[in-house]
Amino acid sequence: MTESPVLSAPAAPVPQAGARARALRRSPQESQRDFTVLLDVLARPGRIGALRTAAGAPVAAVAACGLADVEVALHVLAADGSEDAAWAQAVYTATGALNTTAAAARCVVALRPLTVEDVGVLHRGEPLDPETGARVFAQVDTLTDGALAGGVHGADDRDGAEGDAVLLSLTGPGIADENRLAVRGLSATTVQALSEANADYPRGIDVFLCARDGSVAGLPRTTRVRVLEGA
Amino acid sequence: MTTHLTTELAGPPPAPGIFDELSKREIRRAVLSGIAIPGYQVPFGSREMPVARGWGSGGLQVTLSLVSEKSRLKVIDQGEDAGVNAANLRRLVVNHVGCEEETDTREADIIQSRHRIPEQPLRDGQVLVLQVPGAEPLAGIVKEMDEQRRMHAEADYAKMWVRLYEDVVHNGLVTAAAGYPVLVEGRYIMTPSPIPRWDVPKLNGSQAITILSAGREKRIFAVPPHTHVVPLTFEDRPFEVEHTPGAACRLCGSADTYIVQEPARDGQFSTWACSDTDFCRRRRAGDAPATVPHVQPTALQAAQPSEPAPPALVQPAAQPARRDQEETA
Repeated sequence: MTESPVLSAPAAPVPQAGARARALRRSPQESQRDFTVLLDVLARPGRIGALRTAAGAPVAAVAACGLADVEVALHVLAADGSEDAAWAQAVYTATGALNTTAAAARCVVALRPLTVEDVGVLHRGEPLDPETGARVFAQVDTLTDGALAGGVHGADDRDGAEGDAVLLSLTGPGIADENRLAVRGLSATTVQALSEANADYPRGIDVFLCARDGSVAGLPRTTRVRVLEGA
Repeated sequence: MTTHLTTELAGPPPAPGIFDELSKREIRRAVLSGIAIPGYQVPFGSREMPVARGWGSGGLQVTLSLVSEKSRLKVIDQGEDAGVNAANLRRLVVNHVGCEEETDTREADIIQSRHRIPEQPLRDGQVLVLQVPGAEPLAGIVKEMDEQRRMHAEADYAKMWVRLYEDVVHNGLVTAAAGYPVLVEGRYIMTPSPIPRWDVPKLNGSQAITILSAGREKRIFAVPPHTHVVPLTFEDRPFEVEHTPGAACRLCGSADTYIVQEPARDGQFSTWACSDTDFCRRRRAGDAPATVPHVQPTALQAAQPSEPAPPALVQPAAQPARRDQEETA
């Protein structure tokens, strides 16, 4: 009882944790630049923007860290026991955000692939306050402009790519006619679940898809998404 | 020694800046929510600004959340770059951020505006920030804010339609002059801020992002590019824009821009001039488009396809009362 809590606190820093915190912390200039990119891709669904991120850091986590802060209820979806779990902790540390459940979170960072079950529990807001619907930063593998020659197959040819991509047809506000987006690392069933979650507009979920190379695309709840090809 | 003592007594010098990072992030989150739900008024924690509420504090907060040192910023007050409100807001932001001043609409990245949309069609990559003095289009119809929210939540706009109908019955036309109510993407009724009717069609299918911010009422709402923004009207009452036969800008001669009457020495309003000074200057220099696509009759018909009648002749919004008298006489 006589021992001071300050003295008993562990003093030895874990180097890896520091490196993670540095990779996620966004300066005012970086968060301003991130925001203009996120605004552009959310206002024009299907457009692919580029975030400047530190090597090795999950882009979804970096994007969220530029926008979330101590006032935001946040949840990180990460596979247990993996490196993702350590990054999840770093997100809470870097933002100071309130760690809450997926169902209650205003901001959700999905470091593992987003599943149908995840989409099912996320908050969609209420007609009186639709803005409380979850804003999701979902980590995917790659994002490719689906209008480019090849579409899904063109994306398949990229070096080091694994698994099938889905080719999405997007229409709605922000899109002149139709935009196409090829996504690897997001299942067609999850896309379907997102469409169903957003069917009750203005309630819904807004998604930023964040690829490993720093590219990012927005899928606001207003976007009508159709899966053209892919699993 | 004295300086040292003063510092000790007064504390450290105030932190540089007029807008802290946490505030910017809250504005940014509200803007993204507004983009995701076009026309919906997102509540936000409006901060104290170095300008009084009602003098563009909402627009200022959005602009400060958007600008970087590399941005080119244009600020207009009723189309005028040199207006008192515009000049001071621009000076404040430019000195604070270190971004570049701009008056040419084509070159600007961010355009903060009080009550006008520039005549020059906006392009991809530009953000229009409109200062909003009254965010709630239902304010004059129901008083209770809870009821206004319920009506928006349920898209129950029957009372708005009744109000417009009564307007037509009493006055022969919808008398709303500035801030004409619009329906955004078929869901939310929104005020476009007090822009003249002339500017309302420019919101429909715009290439640029439009963000509307009311600092006093603490609401941010937005219209993404390529979004349907349709003025509320009836099938047999086409949406009309301001037009006075024979009137043209005395400087550039334009009759296809929004022109306002100028007072002469004798106090009479006999001459007209462009409201958009940048466009007027470029028209005179031969550096502006010969036609303005937004206000061509075809564009108006597209916004109201069921009634392809030409715009009726009405007086400018500067004198709504006089217009009403003439129309109903």
